[in-house]
Amino acid sequence: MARARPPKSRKPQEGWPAQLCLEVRAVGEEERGRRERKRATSDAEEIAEIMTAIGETVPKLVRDIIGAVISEETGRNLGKAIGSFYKELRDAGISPEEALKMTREYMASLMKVGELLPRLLRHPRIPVPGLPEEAGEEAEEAGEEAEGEEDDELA
Amino acid sequence: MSWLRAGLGALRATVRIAALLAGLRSFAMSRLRASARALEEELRAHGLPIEAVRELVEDYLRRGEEAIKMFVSLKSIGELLRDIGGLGKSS
Repeated sequence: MARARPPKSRKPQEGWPAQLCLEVRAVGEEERGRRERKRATSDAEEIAEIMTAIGETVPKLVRDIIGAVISEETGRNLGKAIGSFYKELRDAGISPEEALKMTREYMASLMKVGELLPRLLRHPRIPVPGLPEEAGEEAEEAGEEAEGEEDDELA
Repeated sequence: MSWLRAGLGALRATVRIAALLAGLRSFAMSRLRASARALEEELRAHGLPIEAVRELVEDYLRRGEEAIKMFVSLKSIGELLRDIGGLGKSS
């Protein structure tokens, strides 16, 4: 006796024998599992590709930024500026202790400017004193959202 | 077993990135030390007292190290990439 073949949709139909329904369900579940495994594999492959791309491009970018910000030349220039400042103070008749204290403060302020550079690279807007950064970022995000909505409307 | 191979590939790439970050940090530290040496030479040339020079150079190194740790990190690099448009905001 010829056995009823399930159609291509592989869903149990009414009137089929119980055994056949069970078999069809088992096949469906197996296929679903295979599909999920395939999706997980493609996700992992995608992550691997992204990681490889990041690993190739980012180091050069960061290395260039570090080279621009920290170098022998910047140290030398900072030394020149601080040394001249101290010399000027001493020539003006300020006591060595006081001159040293002022020089320390001067160097701290110069270093703060240096620390701002990486932040400026990330957020190319100069922070406004008195305005909290979070508020600025929120405003920026709100602006981006508004732009997105406008684009949607235009589309 | 292709999922296992892909997972191992992703893991290998992650380890590679961690190693690259460590390399970048050590590169930045060597640049900072060279910069501090130049700073010390200049300060001495301008006639600052030795104690003051030492103190200023230590302060410079400490601040520089903090800035490097802050800048060369996964989070910071992710933000940098996001801001220059390398990755989407959602990622």
